[in-house]
Amino acid sequence: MAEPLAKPFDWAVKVRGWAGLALASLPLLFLGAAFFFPLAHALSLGIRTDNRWTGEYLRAVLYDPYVQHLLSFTALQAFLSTVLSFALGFPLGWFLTRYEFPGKRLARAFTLVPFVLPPITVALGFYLFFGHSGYLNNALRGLFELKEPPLPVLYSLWAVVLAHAFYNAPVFARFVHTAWNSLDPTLEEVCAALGASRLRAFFTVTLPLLAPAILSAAVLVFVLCFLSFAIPLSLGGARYATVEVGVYLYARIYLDLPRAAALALLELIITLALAYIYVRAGGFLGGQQERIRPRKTVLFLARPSHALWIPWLLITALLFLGPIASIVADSLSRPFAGKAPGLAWYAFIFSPERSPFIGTSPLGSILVSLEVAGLSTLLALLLGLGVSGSLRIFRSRAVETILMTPMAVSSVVLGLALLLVFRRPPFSYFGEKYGLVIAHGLMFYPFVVRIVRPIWEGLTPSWVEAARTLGAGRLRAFFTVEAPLLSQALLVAGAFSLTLSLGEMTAAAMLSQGELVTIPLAIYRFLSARRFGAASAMASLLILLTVIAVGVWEWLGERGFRTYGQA
Amino acid sequence: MARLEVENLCKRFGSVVAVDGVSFSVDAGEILVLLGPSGCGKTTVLRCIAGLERPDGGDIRLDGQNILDLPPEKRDVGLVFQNYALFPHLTVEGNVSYGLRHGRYRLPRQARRAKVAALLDLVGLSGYERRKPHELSEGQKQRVALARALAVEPKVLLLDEPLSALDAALRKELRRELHRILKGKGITAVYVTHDQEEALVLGDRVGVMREGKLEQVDPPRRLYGRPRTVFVAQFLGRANLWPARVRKGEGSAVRVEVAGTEAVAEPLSPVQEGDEAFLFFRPEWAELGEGPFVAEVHSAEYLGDRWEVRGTVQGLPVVLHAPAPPRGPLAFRLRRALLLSA
Repeated sequence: MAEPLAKPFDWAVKVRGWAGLALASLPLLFLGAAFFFPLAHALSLGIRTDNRWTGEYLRAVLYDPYVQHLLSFTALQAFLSTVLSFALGFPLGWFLTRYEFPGKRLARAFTLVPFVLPPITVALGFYLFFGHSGYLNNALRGLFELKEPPLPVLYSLWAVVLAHAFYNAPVFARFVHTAWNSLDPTLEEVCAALGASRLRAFFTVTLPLLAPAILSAAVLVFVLCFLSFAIPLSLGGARYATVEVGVYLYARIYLDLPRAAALALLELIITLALAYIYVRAGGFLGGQQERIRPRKTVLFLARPSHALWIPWLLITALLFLGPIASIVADSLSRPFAGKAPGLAWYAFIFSPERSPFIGTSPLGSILVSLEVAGLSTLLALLLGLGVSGSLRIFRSRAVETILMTPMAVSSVVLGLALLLVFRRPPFSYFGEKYGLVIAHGLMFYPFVVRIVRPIWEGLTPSWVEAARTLGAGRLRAFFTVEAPLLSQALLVAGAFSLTLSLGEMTAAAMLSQGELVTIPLAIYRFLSARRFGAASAMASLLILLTVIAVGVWEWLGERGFRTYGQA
Repeated sequence: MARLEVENLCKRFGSVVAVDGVSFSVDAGEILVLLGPSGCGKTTVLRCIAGLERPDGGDIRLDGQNILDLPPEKRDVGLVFQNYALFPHLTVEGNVSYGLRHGRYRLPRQARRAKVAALLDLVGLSGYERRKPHELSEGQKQRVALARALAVEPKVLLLDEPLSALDAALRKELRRELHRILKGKGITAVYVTHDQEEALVLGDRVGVMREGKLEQVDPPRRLYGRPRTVFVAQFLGRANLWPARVRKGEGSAVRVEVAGTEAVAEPLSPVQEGDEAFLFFRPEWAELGEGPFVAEVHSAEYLGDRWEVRGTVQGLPVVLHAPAPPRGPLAFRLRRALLLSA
């Protein structure tokens, strides 16, 4: 190679290089200030006292019989919920894969709904549907003329497990459906050609090939149930509380911060271990498999034997639609001031009059929720975009791990960390509301990254290069070329984040203060005060928003986000 | 219109040396073609000039001014991409006017409209303003890409295999049109291609690259008629290269021992008696009929205006042009031959 000429380095070049690096480091800085520092500070309360390290609180927590009960109950209910979710979700995935039927697209879209449906609405739906005087028990009682409610599932471990299954069975269905559709149908035909029965082929070939998908779904569901908050809080009470609820009780009800911090630390260790297992087991959803022949589907009820599915379908439909339908029905039928309500409950939730049950006015609650959701969505989009951009510059596993860590921290722990920061000056000046905005931003930007990043990475680099040779600077090229091409993905991510924020209750409960009562909290308080009509009307509002978000997601997703191949 | 100078350009990717000490200059209004097989580093040279890659060494000057430290948007260098890189979310008009709205050469709305209209007229796409890139044929995309690059009136236009995605007939048509437009505007251009025909037709001068090095830069006729290296001789057109030994070397005609006989050849660099070298001649430099060489014919291909004959002379491969299908061995003599150092 010829000797390169000595290259004088211009200051302008250096500064430009630094400016790029600085911009790419912004998300890191933000996470450092808004996430890692508060988290470290909060957790340190559990292991430090009077400026020295101590294991005192940790030991106290570990030997506390109540905490031991919390831990074992949390693990037990998560395990049972996972098993039940699998039992309900696997046949659903099978059904979706094997049969063709009118409204299949809608059914498939519906499998997304529980994933984004606010947990508090599920809890409310369970009360109204499975409760001792709920729709189901009342109907059965009327039908068989019974005195006692025939299905006393509520107020037990099974209420929590059943609600979790409602939530997570669709996760199994979706994983199984996707994995099954990406299996080469030839394999099963080979089994038949070799003389194996359909059943044998299923157990010897199909099921082993689906196992990775089932396993990663199982780990994901276990983690989600382990970290569940709103459902055990409202359906389980103090007796059937999870670790998340425990941290909340210590921090917000018993005001024992060192214990809350020690328990949070314990929980963080467990969730990090579970997250690690999930990442290791999560190989399945990674790369896209090569294109295979589409699987043949059978028209449902084309053969009489298909009728065997019908009882199962009815039970599934009852379990999934019952609670949601109950909420809407209740909001429209529960007597308001002794009269038929019409839309009176809806008028009520939009009234600016202070309600003693929730500590603020219903309208105020809706407005503060919208404000938090709007701001946190903005933050999540900015942060998600920033992190995706940073990962284009720092291509290292370590940076990626750091930038995605907030995903592995539970909402209660995050809420605790921000609560402690926002209670003290200088942040106390802003108020807990902005703590909640940051908490939601941190919780939902990983979704933005997951949606936006693959599309950004898929854009042809020459588009930006073309813009630059035409005279646009790097930032201008971003805003005129990349940003418009990412806008659909951002729209979906924004709709998603907005919905999740509106329905999020864990961090909201941790940070709630005075007027800061978001919609889910208002529902929870109405529910606790047995003010079902108002709770139902508010929950119906949330369900409507969720369905709209899922609609946007499915509609744009169907068009493949118009990923623009080579133009 | 500007003069571009590239001096001792070096670029490596990891341990791979992509560009290894490349120097050339392009005069104002001149079209320089960089020709070479894929992976020879020609595109990297282009990207260095455009500012999309940072060279590890060397200098790039535009009108005597060093542009190495300028970002791409400040270089006044246009680039037409191999895959066109049309913005998929913008119409034809949006694409062509992009640089006029966001770039270094901004115009008010009215002037922009007029300029885009003039450019689309120039490339024959008037009436396509509202189309989106995915509604265009490959050839139309190519024209839009050219118009977009020309809109900002770059001092130098770089073209990276702009015709390689097109089918043969369209390629020839667009090649002619491209030549008309570039020459009509008197644009200084660097054009990268692996297609030798394109290089000869379009280039005022052609530089042949091989493994990151520039082997020879010359006008097409000189490059074809007086290749300086074995690689250049072989890469461009049909070449016969026979190992030879210098018998008596002096001046512009030396006697060499080749294929069991003797021949006269013009050396392109000074040689001494006893030197090993290659005797080089094009098929059309051989005169069939009589002569010291006799070719055994192995195959003949009909090319319309002639027959291309392949065979051997004393075991050495040879390509000849014949007016009729040969029957039996062909005797020939060399009207002209060059001596290339081994």
